Amino acid sequence: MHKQPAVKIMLRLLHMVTPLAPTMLACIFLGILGNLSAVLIMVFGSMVVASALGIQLALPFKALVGLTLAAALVRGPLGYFEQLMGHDVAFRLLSLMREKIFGALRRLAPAKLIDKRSGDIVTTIMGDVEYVEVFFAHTIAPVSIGIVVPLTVLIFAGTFWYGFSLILLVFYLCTLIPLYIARHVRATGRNYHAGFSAINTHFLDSLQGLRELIMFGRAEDRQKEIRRKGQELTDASRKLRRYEGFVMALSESCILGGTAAVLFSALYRLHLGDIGIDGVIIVTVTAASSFGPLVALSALTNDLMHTFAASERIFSLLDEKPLVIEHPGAHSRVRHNTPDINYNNVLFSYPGKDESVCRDLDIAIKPNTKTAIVGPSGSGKSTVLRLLLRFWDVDHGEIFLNGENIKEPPLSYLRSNMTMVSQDTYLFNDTIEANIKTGNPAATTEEVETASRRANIHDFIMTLPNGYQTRVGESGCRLSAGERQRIAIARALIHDAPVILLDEATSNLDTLNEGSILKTIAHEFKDKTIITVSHRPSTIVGADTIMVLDEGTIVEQGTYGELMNRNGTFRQLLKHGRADASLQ
Amino acid sequence: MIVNKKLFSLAQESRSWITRTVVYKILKLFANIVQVVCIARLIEKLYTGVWGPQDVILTAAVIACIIIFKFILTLLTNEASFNSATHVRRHLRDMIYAKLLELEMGYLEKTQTAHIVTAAVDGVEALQIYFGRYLPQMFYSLIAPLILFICFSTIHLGVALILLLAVPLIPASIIAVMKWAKRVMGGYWDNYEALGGFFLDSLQGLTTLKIFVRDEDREETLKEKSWAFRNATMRLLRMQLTSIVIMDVIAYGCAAIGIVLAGFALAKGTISLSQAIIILFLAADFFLPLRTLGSYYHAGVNGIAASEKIFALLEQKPDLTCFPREVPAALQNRQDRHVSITFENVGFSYDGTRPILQNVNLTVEAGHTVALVGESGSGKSTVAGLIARFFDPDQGSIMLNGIDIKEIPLEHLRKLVSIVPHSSYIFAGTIADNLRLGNTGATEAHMLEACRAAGFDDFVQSLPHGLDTDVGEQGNKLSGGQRQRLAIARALLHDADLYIFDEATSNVDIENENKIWGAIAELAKHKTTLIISHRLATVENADTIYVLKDGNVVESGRHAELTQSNGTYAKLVKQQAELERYQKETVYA
Repeated sequence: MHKQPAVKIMLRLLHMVTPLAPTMLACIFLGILGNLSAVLIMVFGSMVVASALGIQLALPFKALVGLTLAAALVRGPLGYFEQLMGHDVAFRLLSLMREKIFGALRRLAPAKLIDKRSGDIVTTIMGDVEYVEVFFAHTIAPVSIGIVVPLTVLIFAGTFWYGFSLILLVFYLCTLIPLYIARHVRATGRNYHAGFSAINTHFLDSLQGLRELIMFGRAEDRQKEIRRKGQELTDASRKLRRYEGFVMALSESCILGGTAAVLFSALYRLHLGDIGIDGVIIVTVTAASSFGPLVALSALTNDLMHTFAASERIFSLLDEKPLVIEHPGAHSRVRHNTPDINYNNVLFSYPGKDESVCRDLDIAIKPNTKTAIVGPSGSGKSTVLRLLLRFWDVDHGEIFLNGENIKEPPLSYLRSNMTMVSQDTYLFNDTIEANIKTGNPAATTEEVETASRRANIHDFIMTLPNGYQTRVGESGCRLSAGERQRIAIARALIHDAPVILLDEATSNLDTLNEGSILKTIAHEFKDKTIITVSHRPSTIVGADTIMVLDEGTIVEQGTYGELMNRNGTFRQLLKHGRADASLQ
Repeated sequence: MIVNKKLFSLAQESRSWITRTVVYKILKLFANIVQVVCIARLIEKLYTGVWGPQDVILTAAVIACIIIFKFILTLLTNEASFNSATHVRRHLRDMIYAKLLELEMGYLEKTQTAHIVTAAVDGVEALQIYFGRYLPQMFYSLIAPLILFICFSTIHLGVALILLLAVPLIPASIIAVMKWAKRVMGGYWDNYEALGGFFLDSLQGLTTLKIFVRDEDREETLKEKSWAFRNATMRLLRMQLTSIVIMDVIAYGCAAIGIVLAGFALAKGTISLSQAIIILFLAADFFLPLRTLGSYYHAGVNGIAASEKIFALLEQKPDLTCFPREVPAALQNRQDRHVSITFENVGFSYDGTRPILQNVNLTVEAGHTVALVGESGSGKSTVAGLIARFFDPDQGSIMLNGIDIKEIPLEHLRKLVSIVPHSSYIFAGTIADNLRLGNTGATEAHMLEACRAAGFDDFVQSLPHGLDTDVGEQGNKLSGGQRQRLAIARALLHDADLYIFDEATSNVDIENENKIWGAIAELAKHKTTLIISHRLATVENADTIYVLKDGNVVESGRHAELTQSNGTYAKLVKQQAELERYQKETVYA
C-alpha cells in the first residue's frame, strides 16, 4: 500500500460527491444562509436599536423589526435542511461505499482473505467507513460556511471602513491558530487513545479472567494494578484536555478581543466624524456575532486526519487488482458427474513470496476415488486444494478438470463441481437451516433435514431451543468444534458436488469426535471423489491412493500397504503421528 | 429532566467537582454581563457626547481584565469537568471490580461474563460523559436564566418575563419530540448493529460464500439491507433535527422578540440606549445553556441506561454466606501434603428449582486419583465448583480432611485446591507473566520445570524469546492446546494439594490431548487428583471411578469392576471403544 497525499485522497472523496453535487451544493447554500441569518438577527437587531434612537437608516424602524424577526424564524429551518441534505449525501455515499467494498472483496477473495489477518482487515474497514461520514456530513459544508460567512461579514464591515475588515481578519486568523498547533498535540492525542484502549483492554482482561484471578488469590493485586494504570492514564489525558481548554479559552478571547478592537477603532472613526453612533453600534454587534462558523471550523480538524487515513485504506482496497481473472466469454456447461482431475507440472508460489509452494507437481485423480495427500506442515498440502478451486492461479503448468483447463470455464461452474470442508468451518450468524442451505439455497426443508440426519447432527439440532430455526451463536446454541464440522458436512451433502475436498477437516477435534466424524465421511461420501489433505495419518482411512507431499512435490505415492513396505517418508510420518497415550 | 438520585449518589467524590464546574460557569456568566454592561455604557456615553479619554481607558482596562479572567475560568471549568469525569470512572471501576470479588465465583458461573463486561466498560464510558458534561450543564442551564432574569428585570420586567417564560418551552418541546421519537427509535440501534454484523459476517464468511457460489446473492442482500439502514438512519435524523429546529425557533425567535421589544421601549424612552444594548447582547444567553444541554441529551439517556445495568450488578447479594477468617487448627502446619474430599448427601441447584446434584456421596481419598465420568449435563463440573466453593451446596456438606469447607477461609481453600477448567483463561502479557500468576515468586528454573511437567517446554524452548514471549490478548497467539498446557503449568506452580482437571482436553486437538494426558498422569503420581472427563480411555487407571447420571452417582468402582457390571459405564466404554478403534485399526491394521 503506497502512501497517498492528503490532497489526492480529498479530491477523490470529493469526486465521489459529484453525482450528488446538486444536493451537496444546496446543503452548502442553505448552511451559508442559515449561518448568515444568525448574524443578521444581531445586525438587524442593532439597526432596530439605532433606529429607535431616531437615526435615519436605509430602512424604516418597522421594516427592521420585521427583518429581525424573520431572520430569527428562518435560522432554525435553514439549519434543518442543511443538516438533512448533508447527511442524506453522506449516508447515500456510505451505503455505496459499503457495497463497493464488498464488491471489491468479492473479487479479491479468497486470495486476499485467506490469511489470518483477514479479521483485522474486516474490522478496520468497518470502522473506516464510519470515519468517512465525518468528511461527507461534517467537513465539506462547515469548511465552505467557515470561508463564505466570515468573508461576507468582512465585506459588510468594509462598507463602513476598510480598517474594520483588516482588524476582524486578524482576529479571525487568531481563531484558526489551533489548526496549526493541532499538529503538535496530535502525538499526545494518539498516545492518549492508545493508552485509553490499553487500559480498557486491561480492565476487560481482568474481568474475563476473574475466575483464574480468584482461584490463584491474585485478584487484589490486580485491582491495585487497575488503579495504578488508571492514574497514569488520567495524568496523560489531563494534558490533552488542557489543550482543549486552551483552544476554547483562546477562541473566546479572540471573540471578545476582536469585538473590543472594533469598538475602539469605531470610536476613533466616530471621533473623526467618519461614522455615526449607528455605525458604532452596528459594526460592534456584527463583529461580536460573526465568529461562530470559524470556531466550529477550528474544532473540526482533529478528526480529519483519521478520516484521511481511513479513506486511504478504503481506496487502496478498492484499487487492488484481483489475482484470479475470469476467462472472458466463458459460458457455463453441463456438470460432469464423474470428473477426473489432473495437475500437470504445476509450479506455484504465493504472491510476494520467493519460495515455491508447489514444484513440478503432477497429480492424476480418477473419478470416484479416494485420495489422501499427507505430509508435514508447510509441505504445501492445502495449497494443492486451493489451486484446484482457483483461489489462486498456477504460475506454470495446468490443472485439468475433465480434460479442460480450469481457467476456461466460469468460476461458478468450477466451484459447483466441488465442495470443501476445512478446518475452521465458518458459520454465518443466521439460523442453522440457513447455514446448511448455504450449500444449496433451493433446498427444501426435507432435504435440509435429510442432509442433517446423514451428517449425524439432526438429533442434536432438535435439542436446540428452536430446532433448525435456532440462530448460531445465540445463547443455548454455542456449538462445539465437532458440531460445527457436522454442520459443514450437512452443507456439503446438500451442495451435492461430485468432488469433495477435505482440508484438515478433523484436525481441530479430539479423539472421540474425530473418530465419529471420519466414520460419517467414509459412509456418506462413498460415491464421491474425495481428496483429503491432512497432517494427521488417522484421516487416511479408506484412501485408495496416498500421496506424500514434501516441499511442494509428491515424493511417494501408492496404497497404504505399498507405502508401509517402502520404509520412506510415509513411515516416518506415521511414527510421529501415532497418538495413543492414556492415563498411566 | 434526566437526574437520577441513586446515580448522583454514586459520585460522592465527583460532587465537589461538579459544583465547582457549575460555579465557574456562573462566574463566567457574570463576567459576560460585566463586559456587556461596560461596552453598553461606553456606547451610551458616546451617544450623549459626554465622554473623555478616561472612559475609553477604563473600559479598555476592564475588558482586558475580563479577557484574562474568562481565559482562566475556561481553563478551570475544563479542569473541574475533567476531574469529575475521572473520579467517576475510577470510582465506578473500583466498585464494580470490588463487587465482583465479593460476589465470588458463583455469580460469574451463572452470569455471562460478556454482560458484566459491557455494563462495566461501556457503562463507565457513558457515565463519564454524564457526570463530566451533562450534569454540570444541566444545573447551569437551570441557574443561568434566573440570573439573567434578575439582571434584565432591573431594565425591563416585560422583556425579562417573556424570555424567562420561554425557557421551559425548550425542554418541554424536546420531551414531546422524544416521545414521538421513541417509536422511530424503536430498534434503530438493533438495526445498526444488525447491518454491521451482517457486513462483518459476510466478509468473514466470504470464502465459504465463494465455494458455494453464493457471493452474488449475498451482495444483493447486503445492498438491500444497507439501503434500508440508510432510510432508518434518515428517519431518525429527521426526528433529531426536528427537535433541534424547534429548539432553535424558540431560542432565536424569543431572543429576537426580546430585542425588538427593547427597540420599542427605547423608542418610547422607557429604557436607555445602554440598557437596550445589554438586552441585545444578552437575550440569546437565556437559551444557549439549554441548547448546549440538548446536544448532551444523548449522553444523558445513555448514562441512565448504563447506570441501570451497573446498579443491577452492585445490588447483587453474594451467594456464599459464611466467610471464616481463621484457618482451622488441623490445617495449619501440615506435614502431609495430601487432602481428602468427602461429599455427604450433597444436593445442589443453580436456580432453586432444577436440581443439578441429588444426594451425592463420594470420596476422593488422600493421594488417590479419582475420576468422575458421565455424559454432558450430568453435573460433573458442578462437583468441581462445589469443592472450590464457587457456590455452597443446598443440602449436605463437603468435607476436606474431615473439616467442613465452609469453615476454611476461601483464600486458604484455594491454595489447597486448584482447578484446570476446559478453557482456561490466559491473560495478555508474556508466558512468564501468566505463569507467575500461579506463584508470584517463581524463578525461571521453577517456571521451566513446570512447563516441562506440563509438556509445554518443547514449545517454550522453540521460541526466540522463550518465557518472555508475548501471548497476545486472551492468549490468542497460542493454539487451544498450547493455552491449555500453559494453564496446567500455571496450576502446577500454584502447588496445590488437590488438582481437579475439568474436561481439561475437551477443546484440544489430538496431539495436544495426548501431551496433556501425559502431564496429568505424571502429576497424579504424587498429588491427589480428581479427573472429570467424558473420554473414558483417559481414566481407565484411576483408583476410583464415579459415574454420574442426571445428578446422581449411579456407579462407582475400578475400571475392571465397572466394565463387568454391565451398567452405564460399561455401555459408554463400548460405544467409545468402537470410535477409538475405528480411528486406529483401519490405519494400523
